[in-house]
Amino acid sequence: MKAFTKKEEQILLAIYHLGSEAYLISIREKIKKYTGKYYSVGTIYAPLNRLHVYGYLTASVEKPDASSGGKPIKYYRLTKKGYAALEALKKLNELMWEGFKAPVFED
Amino acid sequence: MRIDQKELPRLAFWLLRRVLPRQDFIYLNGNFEDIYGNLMQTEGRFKAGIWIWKEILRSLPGFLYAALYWRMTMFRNYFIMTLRNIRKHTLHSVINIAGLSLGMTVCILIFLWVQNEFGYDRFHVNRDNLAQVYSEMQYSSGSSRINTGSYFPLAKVLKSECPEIVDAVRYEFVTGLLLRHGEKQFMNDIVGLADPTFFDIFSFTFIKGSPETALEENYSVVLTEKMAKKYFGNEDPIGKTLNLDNELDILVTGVIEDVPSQSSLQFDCIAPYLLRFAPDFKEPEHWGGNPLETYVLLNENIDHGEVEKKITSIVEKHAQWETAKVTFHLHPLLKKHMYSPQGGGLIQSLAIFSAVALFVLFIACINFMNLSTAKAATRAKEVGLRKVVGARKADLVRQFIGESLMLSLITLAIAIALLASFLPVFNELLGKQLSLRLLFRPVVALGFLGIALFTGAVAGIYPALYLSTFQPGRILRGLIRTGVKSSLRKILVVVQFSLSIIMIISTVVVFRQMRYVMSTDLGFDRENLVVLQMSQSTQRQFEPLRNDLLNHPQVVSMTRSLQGPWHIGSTVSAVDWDGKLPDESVSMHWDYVGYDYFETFDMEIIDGRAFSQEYPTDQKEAYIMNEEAVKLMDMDSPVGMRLSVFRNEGKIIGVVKNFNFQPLYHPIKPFVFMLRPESGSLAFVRIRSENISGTLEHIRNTFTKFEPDSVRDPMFFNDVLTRYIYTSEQQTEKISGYFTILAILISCLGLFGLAAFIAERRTKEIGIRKVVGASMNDVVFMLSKDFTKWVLLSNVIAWPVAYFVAQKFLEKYAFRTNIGPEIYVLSGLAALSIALLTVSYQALKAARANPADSLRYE
Repeated sequence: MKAFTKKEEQILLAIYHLGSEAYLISIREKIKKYTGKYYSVGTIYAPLNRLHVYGYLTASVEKPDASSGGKPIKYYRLTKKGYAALEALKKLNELMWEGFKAPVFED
Repeated sequence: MRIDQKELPRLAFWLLRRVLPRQDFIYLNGNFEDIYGNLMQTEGRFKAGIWIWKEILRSLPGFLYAALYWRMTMFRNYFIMTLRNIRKHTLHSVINIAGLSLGMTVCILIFLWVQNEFGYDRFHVNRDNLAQVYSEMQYSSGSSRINTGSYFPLAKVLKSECPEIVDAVRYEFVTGLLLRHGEKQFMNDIVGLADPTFFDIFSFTFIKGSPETALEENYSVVLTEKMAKKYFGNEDPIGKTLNLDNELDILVTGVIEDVPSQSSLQFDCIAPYLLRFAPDFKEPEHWGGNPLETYVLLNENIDHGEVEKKITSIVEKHAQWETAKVTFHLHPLLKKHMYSPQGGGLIQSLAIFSAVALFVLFIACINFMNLSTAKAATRAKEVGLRKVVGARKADLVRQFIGESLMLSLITLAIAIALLASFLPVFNELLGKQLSLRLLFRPVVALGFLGIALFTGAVAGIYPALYLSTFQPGRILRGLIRTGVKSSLRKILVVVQFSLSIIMIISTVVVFRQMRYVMSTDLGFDRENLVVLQMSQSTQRQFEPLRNDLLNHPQVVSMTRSLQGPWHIGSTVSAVDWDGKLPDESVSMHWDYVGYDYFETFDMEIIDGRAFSQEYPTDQKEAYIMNEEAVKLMDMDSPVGMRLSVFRNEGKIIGVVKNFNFQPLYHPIKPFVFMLRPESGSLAFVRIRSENISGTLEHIRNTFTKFEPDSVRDPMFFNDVLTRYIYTSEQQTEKISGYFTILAILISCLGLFGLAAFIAERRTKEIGIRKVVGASMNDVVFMLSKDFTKWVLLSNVIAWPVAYFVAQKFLEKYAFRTNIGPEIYVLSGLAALSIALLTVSYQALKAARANPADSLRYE
């Protein structure tokens, strides 16, 4: 499995949590909610697009309705490969964090 | 949130449209519009405006990255496709790359050469204000003559009387002088003679001594570093003496750096001009032409035309020209190397060779285009598929031009490698020291990269445009039979072969003319005629030397003369005879010769007699004319008639048959011989054809006996011609020979590739033809027929052009060889047979193939 950057990991997790509501803007909002960090559209787009191309995500275009102001929206969902990647990430993280306990500093 | 398009900030969204990735443009644009709309409603127009600009700026890197990422991916794909194509069509690629790199090699070679020739004399600080003075004589007969030879008093007069001229110096170089220091002595140094201010106006760098005072002493000399090393080794040469021609001792007063190879003045040492008149240093005051050159340094920004008029009028006051009108002209030093005052010069051969090099490159480009379009058929499916999955025409054009650029870069690398290996050969051919180092200068390197890219673009543009127009639907359904009948391809082959045939014919013409020049009857027998240069002391011992030599059984006769009959340029106008019209101005070429001159040269005396020791008066008052002179004087029986030459009264004692005393560019002109058995530095020996090397050895030894510690090298007459007279023809002959071979080679490479392609295209047809009974001959004939037609057509185009080129080349010769139609026909046939040989390999291969295999090939 290819190593993911932090941003890619965040995007994958955001999409997982958003379920069927994951599109560029909502992903951005979600990440902001988790990390408090504000990303521009372009900085989200580049990794998102790459994940899509490598097959971790599928995209579907929703027909415009009134709420989106008549614009078509591209929704992303995790693919099987995407879930597998998250699974592996989780395992990796757990493995690395296992037994972690910060020592108590007396000061 | 619905938002009206009109409310969006126009500039910001225009910019967005530029940077958003194409494939997701709609959604991203929609996102931006949404957020902007929300912000506008909640925060107001101003804040929304700030947001969108901030957002665009922060998004830019991401979008750029995404865009470039896709470009890189496509580029990688193109790159792999190119390599795959090179590998898949090995023959085709090798032909393309080999042809183009040969063409490029030639172009770069010629560029280096041209660059070198244009760099002459640029090292002089005063380069823009230096000029050589030459004169033009107009005779009453209407003819005129340009003399670069100058006059003894000219420099002095100009310096003192013409305010625009800062300084003027005389310069002359002498070869074949014997120079000696102690044990070391050589004859091959070029001794320059120049006025003392020579080093003030020309910039030669002094290592020892000072430019101002070096030539002030009459018996002084300035050596180049190389020459100083040769005679003095590691000693300091300053203050030491050199012996000149066993006559004079001269003091070394300076050492300069070696004369740059890009200097039109070439010498190994410079001595004061006055040394010519040693020991009494009396300068002649007369205005007679001599082989010296006069150079002037002008003030800044002087109009040459004005100065020329001034010089003409100044000289008119001093010299009383009786026979001809003389005007003076200036020839800028920077032009001296490339242009000759008589017109023409090196620039002509450079122009010709540059044109030829471009031709060769052009032929290679044609091949490239030709083979690429021919290959189009096999690429058609790729083009169709690319279009189906979304490639636009521009993408395809970019892809194919990119491919051709890549090939041309590979080619450039190969060309430079080829260049490195050919350069020594080329240098030897030209007698130059061209160096590849020039290629590492940024400007030049960029230039060549530019040429390579340009070649690639030119060669690739047609295939690129042609291939990208295919309609995917038709290709993929197999409806397009790509361009087999392309008439452009035929035209390209015809152009290519026309150029090759023109070059073949031109080379043959140059070759034939050179054979003619070297073997035609000059009016005397040039075989077994040996030429030697004599030193002053040998000249004084000429008679005993001659008697000694004549004792040898293989030596027939020997004579001497002032000038060699390969180029006698000096003329005399002071000629008078009974019956000459009072205002008739004439000029005759002349020479001082010794006894036995006509016998040694085997010239035919058709009237009267030759000079003879039986008539002591011959020495003062006897003249022998050639037929042309007799015609000029309009005499029926010239022998015994009065004639005065140089105001010396005498009689014509004989008439010699016309002979060539100049290179064959010039017609035979009137000539008068005078007898001076005690003068003349050239010795001519007629030997028998047996045991030539033994005889030459004897001549060498005899000369050494009379002039100890020196070695004189006898030369054959024809060798003198090739070494000193027809040098540029020799060069032209060799270089154009190489070029022709190259052009034919490249053309054939192209033809070979094309034939291979056509044979491949017609595999099935050939199979069917064989099945229904065609013989191998039929198939070969069928495949060769087209090519034969094209080459024959090329002949028709090439002949008139070649005729014109040949006429242009032969124009300058008064005596020229006959170029009959057979040369054209034979050259054409040669081209045809080379072409057929090339094609027949492919044709035979196709014809031999088993039809069962070829019909099953799909």
